[in-house]
Amino acid sequence: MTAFPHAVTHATFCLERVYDAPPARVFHAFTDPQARRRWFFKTDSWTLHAHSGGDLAVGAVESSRFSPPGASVLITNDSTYLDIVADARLVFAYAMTLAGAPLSASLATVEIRPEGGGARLIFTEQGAYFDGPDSVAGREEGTRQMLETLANEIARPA
Amino acid sequence: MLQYQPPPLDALFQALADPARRAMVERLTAGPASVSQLAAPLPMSLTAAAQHLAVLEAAGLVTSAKVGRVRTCTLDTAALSQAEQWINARRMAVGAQLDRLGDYLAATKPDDEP
Repeated sequence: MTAFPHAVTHATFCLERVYDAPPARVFHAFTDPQARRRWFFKTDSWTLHAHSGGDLAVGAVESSRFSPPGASVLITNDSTYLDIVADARLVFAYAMTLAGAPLSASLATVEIRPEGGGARLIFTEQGAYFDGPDSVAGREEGTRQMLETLANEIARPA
Repeated sequence: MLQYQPPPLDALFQALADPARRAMVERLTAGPASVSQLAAPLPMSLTAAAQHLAVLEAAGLVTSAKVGRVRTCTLDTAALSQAEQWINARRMAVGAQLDRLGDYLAATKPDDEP
């Protein structure tokens, strides 16, 4: 229940994965624009309307405009690298919008550590998440998106 | 002052983990519906549908009211603010992306890597 129309919710979440690949290859896959098109932008199912930047340099900006599968709603992501330690750490700030309305502004930290013959990736996001004006369309889109994401997550083999 | 208490996320995720219940929630995004309308497209009895709805109600996703002999269900999107929905969607999207990164790393594993 939103007390006033432009509320902000702050939240932090952390995800970890262990990959069967050395830190250098994980770091490269995370930052190389060609590799990112394959795993990050999901170009096999999502529509990528525009994608620019993405150079591996502090201050470099990556901008993307995309739509989920079977939908025309426009989502934007503008991301800036704040800190880069080759093969070990990335810090970036990114803001997202949905159908022109601001959704979130986040600080993401990616840590990559050697583990066994592979690597452990720790993704920590600290964000400000916005409630837009209380539009039914926005809430429906939010709900639909949450359900789709959840369905995808559940469909994924454990 | 009465504080609004959001339902626990566990109950919410558990409620949404079932495909029949997700189908009901998706139907309700289009507007309120009766129990029999919600049950009609699903391969289950009215009793089973009512049990699924009870789970959705307990999770705070659905509210229902009985008028005469018809129980009408409404999606309670206020249970989750747009921001909270987005946080959950974001966390799951990032998780899915990190899994895709794993798939990519496996698919591009060089022959000389141990």
